[in-house]
Amino acid sequence: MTATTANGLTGGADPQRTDDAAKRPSESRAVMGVKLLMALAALLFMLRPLTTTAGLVAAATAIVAAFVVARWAYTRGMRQPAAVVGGVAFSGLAWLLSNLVRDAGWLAGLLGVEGAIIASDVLLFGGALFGVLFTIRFLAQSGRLFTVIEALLIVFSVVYTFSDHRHLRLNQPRFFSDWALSNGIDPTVVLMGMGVTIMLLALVMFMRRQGGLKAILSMLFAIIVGVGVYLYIDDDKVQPAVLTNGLGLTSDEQSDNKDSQSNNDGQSDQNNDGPSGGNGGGDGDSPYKQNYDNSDKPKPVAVVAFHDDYEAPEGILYFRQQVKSKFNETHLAADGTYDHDVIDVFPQAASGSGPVAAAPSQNLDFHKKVPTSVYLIAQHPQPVALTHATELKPLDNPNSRVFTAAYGVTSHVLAGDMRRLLGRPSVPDEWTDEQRAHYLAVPDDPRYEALSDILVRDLDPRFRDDQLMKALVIKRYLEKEGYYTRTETHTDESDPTASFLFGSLRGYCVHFAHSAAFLFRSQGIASRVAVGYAVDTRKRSGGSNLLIYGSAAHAWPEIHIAGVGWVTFDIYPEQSDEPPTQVVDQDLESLLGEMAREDPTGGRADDPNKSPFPWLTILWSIIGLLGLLLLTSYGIKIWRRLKPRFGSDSGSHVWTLRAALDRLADVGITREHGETRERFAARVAETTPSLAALTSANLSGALGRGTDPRETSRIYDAVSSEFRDNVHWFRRLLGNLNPIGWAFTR
Amino acid sequence: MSTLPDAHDVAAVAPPTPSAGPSLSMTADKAREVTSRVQAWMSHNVMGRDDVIELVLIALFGDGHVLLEDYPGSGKTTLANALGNAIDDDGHAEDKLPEFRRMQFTPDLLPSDITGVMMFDLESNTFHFRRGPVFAYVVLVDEINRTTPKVQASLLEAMAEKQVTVDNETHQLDDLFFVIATQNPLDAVGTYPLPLAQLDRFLFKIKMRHIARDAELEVLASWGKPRKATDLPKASRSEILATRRFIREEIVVSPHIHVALVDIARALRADKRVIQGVSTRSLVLAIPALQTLALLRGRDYVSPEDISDLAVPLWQHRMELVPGIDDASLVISDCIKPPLEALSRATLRG
Amino acid sequence: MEATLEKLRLSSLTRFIEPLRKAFDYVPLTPLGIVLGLVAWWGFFSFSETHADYVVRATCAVALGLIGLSVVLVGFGSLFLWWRTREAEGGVPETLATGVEAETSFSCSTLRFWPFLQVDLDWTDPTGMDVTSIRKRGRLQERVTPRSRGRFTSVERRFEVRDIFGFSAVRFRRRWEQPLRIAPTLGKADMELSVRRASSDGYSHPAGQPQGEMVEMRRYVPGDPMRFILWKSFARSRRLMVREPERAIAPRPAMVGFFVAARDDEPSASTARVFLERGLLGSDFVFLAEGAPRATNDRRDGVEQIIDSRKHRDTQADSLTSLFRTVDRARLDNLVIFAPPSRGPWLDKVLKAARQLPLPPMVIVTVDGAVTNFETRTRLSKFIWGEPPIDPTLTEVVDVVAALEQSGMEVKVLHRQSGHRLHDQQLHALRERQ
Repeated sequence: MTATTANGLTGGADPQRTDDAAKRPSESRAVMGVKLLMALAALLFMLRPLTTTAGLVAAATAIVAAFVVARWAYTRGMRQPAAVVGGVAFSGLAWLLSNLVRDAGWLAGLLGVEGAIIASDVLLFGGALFGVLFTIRFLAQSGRLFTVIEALLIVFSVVYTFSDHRHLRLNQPRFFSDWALSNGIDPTVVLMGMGVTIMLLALVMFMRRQGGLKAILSMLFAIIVGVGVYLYIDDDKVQPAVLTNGLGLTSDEQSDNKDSQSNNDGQSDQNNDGPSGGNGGGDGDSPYKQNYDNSDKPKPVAVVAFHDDYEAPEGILYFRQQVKSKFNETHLAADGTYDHDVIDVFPQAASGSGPVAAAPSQNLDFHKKVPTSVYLIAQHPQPVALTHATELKPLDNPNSRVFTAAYGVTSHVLAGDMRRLLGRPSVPDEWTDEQRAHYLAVPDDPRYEALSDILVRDLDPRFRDDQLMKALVIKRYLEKEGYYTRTETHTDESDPTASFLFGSLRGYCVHFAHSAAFLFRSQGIASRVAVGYAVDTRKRSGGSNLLIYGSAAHAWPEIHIAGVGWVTFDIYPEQSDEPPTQVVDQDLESLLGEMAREDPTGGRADDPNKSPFPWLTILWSIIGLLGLLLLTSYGIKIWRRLKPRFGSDSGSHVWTLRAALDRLADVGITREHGETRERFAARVAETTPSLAALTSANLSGALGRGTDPRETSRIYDAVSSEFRDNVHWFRRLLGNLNPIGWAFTR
Repeated sequence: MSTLPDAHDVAAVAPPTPSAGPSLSMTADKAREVTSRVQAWMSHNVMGRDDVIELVLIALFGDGHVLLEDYPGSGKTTLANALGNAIDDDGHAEDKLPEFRRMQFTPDLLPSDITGVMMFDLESNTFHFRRGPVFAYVVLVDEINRTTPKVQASLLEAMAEKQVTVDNETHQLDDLFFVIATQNPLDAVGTYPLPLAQLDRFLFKIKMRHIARDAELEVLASWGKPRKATDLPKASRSEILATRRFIREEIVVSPHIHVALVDIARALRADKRVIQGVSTRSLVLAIPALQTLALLRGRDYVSPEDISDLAVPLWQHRMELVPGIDDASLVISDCIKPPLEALSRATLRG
Repeated sequence: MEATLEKLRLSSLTRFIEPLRKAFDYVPLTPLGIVLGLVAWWGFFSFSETHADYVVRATCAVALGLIGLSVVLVGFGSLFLWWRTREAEGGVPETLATGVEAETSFSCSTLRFWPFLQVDLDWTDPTGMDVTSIRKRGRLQERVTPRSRGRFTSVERRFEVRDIFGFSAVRFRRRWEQPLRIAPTLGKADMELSVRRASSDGYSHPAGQPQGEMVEMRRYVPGDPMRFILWKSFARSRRLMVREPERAIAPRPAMVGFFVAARDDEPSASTARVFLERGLLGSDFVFLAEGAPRATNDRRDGVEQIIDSRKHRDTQADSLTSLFRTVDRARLDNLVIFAPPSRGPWLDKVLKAARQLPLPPMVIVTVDGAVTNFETRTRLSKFIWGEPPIDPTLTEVVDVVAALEQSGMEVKVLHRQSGHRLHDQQLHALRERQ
């Protein structure tokens, strides 16, 4: 019973137990220690790239302090509301102060810029972190349910550190992927292993007061579970890739974007609607609904490998997923009745159906065959392929954790001079009336025809009846007058296309595509809207692999020319408020391309090991620091050991006893707190019987009449020789090597 | 016991020398020899009580009094008797006093029954004082809590001042006035418990535990057999007084020890389990006791060990504890730790 | 009125919630398990899919796997334990004492070699038992410390099998039919002495039977028998003195005792038992505890009445009137009431009854807990640390004593643990605290 306070109590019948009863039981010290280590490792790991060294030191201090203070407050019986209010208020105050220090000019002047940044960091990562952690720790001790916050914090710090790898950007985070790739390890394997490990470690956060044996047994069992789960989720059947709608946009990002419409100054060049595509109908959603991939980090959706060199005539490659041709009151919707030239099923190797071919529509005289391989990263309802795909062959998936589908494509791309297309009608004669009506249906709005008539009226009389020229005029008109912006969606209008075309002429690709299609159709040109990705190859630096980002999603009109087939007829507005295209991440492109070629290292195995993080320097400085500490403590040890030989006579009673106690402490024999020296000497009499005499000499010197230095050193020699005789040489050796034994001498 | 070589030799060799005169010059060896004579006498007569004997010895040479608390039949009286018999009057007192007196306290006792009364002497036609039983070297007061507070108070005056006052006339008691009082545990029926202020006058309150099995067997075996007590040398009154003086003057009490004592007292007063802490008087009384223990252990200075050993018997009866806390020794052993630790550390500082 | 409404609402709420809570005992998931499971579910099936986060995916998969495994293990573990405790003996001794720890002979498996699992044991009927379980070589041994007295015909234990992380837990109950009697504890040896002092202030009562030899002397007070007067001393000093029995502290004889059963009456029950069993009520006493059909003059019967009065806490001193009816009015001069230290309707009834008596009764209030450290706290420190912990018996004792003393009753406050009487200083400190 060590408690010295009697703080009231509750009605136990044993009065001696009262002191302990007043204290709330918390988790055992060992468990808290393990939790503290976990929190330190995880949080510092997360904060390392975010703050300065001073901030890191402050954060480490704050973590330790939060653990200790929260335990103290809890066992002392602090009330829960007080702890929460106090912790949050402290946190908020520190945050405010940190902002003030960073933003206030006069402070920066006072402290210097660097000083202000350090001060602000220390306040934020020391103060605010302390408040938050204190609250969480306190809650976790008071209710088991709250431990979930604590565990999630640990998990979150690791997840956050590795969050750059999301959406298959497997070359991120650099510090990790460079290492993994250069060692020929598939990063996904390591990432999943990391996840399993961190959860197993976070389990510790759920423990309270466990017997060691049970805890170890359970942790072993949990590790087995972890390994089992890891092996299970590593299986092919689980697709960790992005589940998207037709255009590589995830559902939650769509909703995110709706919220951030007003400030979507993102960097992607082209945009498109996200109709529900192959999911049937698509009449539920208006195609004008704005869906951008405007996040900071565009997500890869597919890798295309070109088998031959191919340069797009205008520098833009169109990858079509779907076409919309069925007029549906205000817009065009997908309808497979007549679009037989578009392949809407994946080729299945397993089912034995083999290659899937499209209905022949493109005249080979005007087209060139381009073979490509497509590796889809995001899931798509329909295959994405370079226009105009005529055949899809199944391919083996090279890495099922990265790619959702792989297939070879044979595309017919328009080749040769555009002028060759002139002088042909749009609608071939062999089309049935229904087919004709299907591709020429326009809204019941006379303005379309009126506008198109006005546009084609100025046409050179030579081409007055040439439908391609008419289409070009309409295209030129939209390109000249239209203004590309994503800020005006027209979604509130009953007919967004009309609102765009006869209104501001400000809108984005869906508006342009639909307007063009309706104008074409009103001039008797069969047209439809294609949906997919348009990749600007002019910004690329070459290479046979092409990485398609979700941000390249696009919609464009296609027109039909009899005897030629469907022709991509995109509008390029001259006025735009879009920033220039983001530079393609070549690194990721080649990495994913190599992975598609079944090289798990992404072609990096030969790269020299260039670790951007100075592991070695840190390691050496830690070793150096430890060495210095070691040397210092050995110095102190030797000095204390030799002091009896060279020290003054007046202090010999102190030096000798201290040196003798040092020896004992080196081999782990120390005095307990509150134990008197004589009692300790009696306790170790088996080892060093003369220690009692030495102790007497010391006490006599300190409290009595003094001692004879020669006598003292004689006793000291006796102690030394007894120590040599009675302690096993191996233990003595270890004791001599022990650098910190003297610190335990009391 | 001490492991100092010289102390060892003395304890082993101590020859039974006859008592010397009062003017004898004391040395440490001589002082230890006197104490060991008394101790030997008592150990011979009382079995299995070595711990209690040591405390009684400390009180005797440390000029204090002891209160033994135990259930009846546990050898309190035997112990006191043995002590009384160990002291020999060497005739240096002005007038002959008995070495040992025993008083049984009962409810109907009066103060004059113990201090003495003024008697009218028909021959000299004057009053003269007839001494009561307190006029002795060793006084055993049996069942001190059975008598009324008035009687208790008169005894306590005698203990504190070494004098008795009867009819405004003060009579000095002998310098070697030593009281062993016994009392029954509190809950016995019909008792007048001693208040804290009076308990404070006793140097020690010793709770006697039942003796060890072997010692108890020996008691049974030796029952009724005459003991050859006369073989052992006794200590004379003047030797004891000289030893007391020697202890007082020659055993070093370092300022560190004073600091530790005061710190312990303050810690005891500040402890929340304590209603009333220990008095300054108890610290003053403690010093001779500590010095005596140091002598018994063969040292010429007081060491932390002495404080650690004597703390509980010194202070356990001087404190009033909060209701619900029983064990003063727990409180004391908690409170002495930090000051003793500080003291221990001080000795390792050059 | 409002209070009863509140109580009504509360009780209907508990009536509604209680079965739900009981049903939840058999659901192997704890709130922690549910919350973590939901988070992991969302992370695994939604977040990690949409963001292609391998770390989250693996983390959540492991969490789900662990929770699932915990549920399965807890389920099987509890089935195993349920099966193994089927034939077990109840093992509870027939008599326990409040505040005294007793080891029962019941034991069950701790599921030592089952990973994750641990077993906890509690009593659900009778309630108010402190149960600690000791794990010894794979067996769980049980020690119970009753907090309140009573008489029961069966014992119901609740077993909880849970995993060490707290994800899942199953609780089930088992009932053993066996008589159990929990007597109030007898307190310390000092109790008797302090009770004596408390009950008689060191003077014997004039009407008491003399015990021991007449050796003491004191001044005459009206009512002392003539034959004890010391005429010799009167002749010398003209003062009337009487002889007194040797035993300075003598009990009041032939007292009438009444035990009030109410909230926080356990310490008081201990005191009443001491009075009965040590004969402090005199040889010819009458005793009635709340709710007993008729008064008794048998000590053992009195103790049983105290034990049974646990069930009659609601009637709040109603039996006092029946005591007045049955007992000779003259004897009621020596009425001792053992009262609890907390307020309640009993207080008014006792005050009213006392007014009918010629002499105010003596009331003995017993408190518990440590009477230390009544520091007053500032508002801020109250917000942070809450009220200083204090035994429930100490919170209202000052008011109760004040109310009783106001009507002229002689009130003694005893402390059960130490057996001391609380002195005025301590009561004052308690009052200051409020």
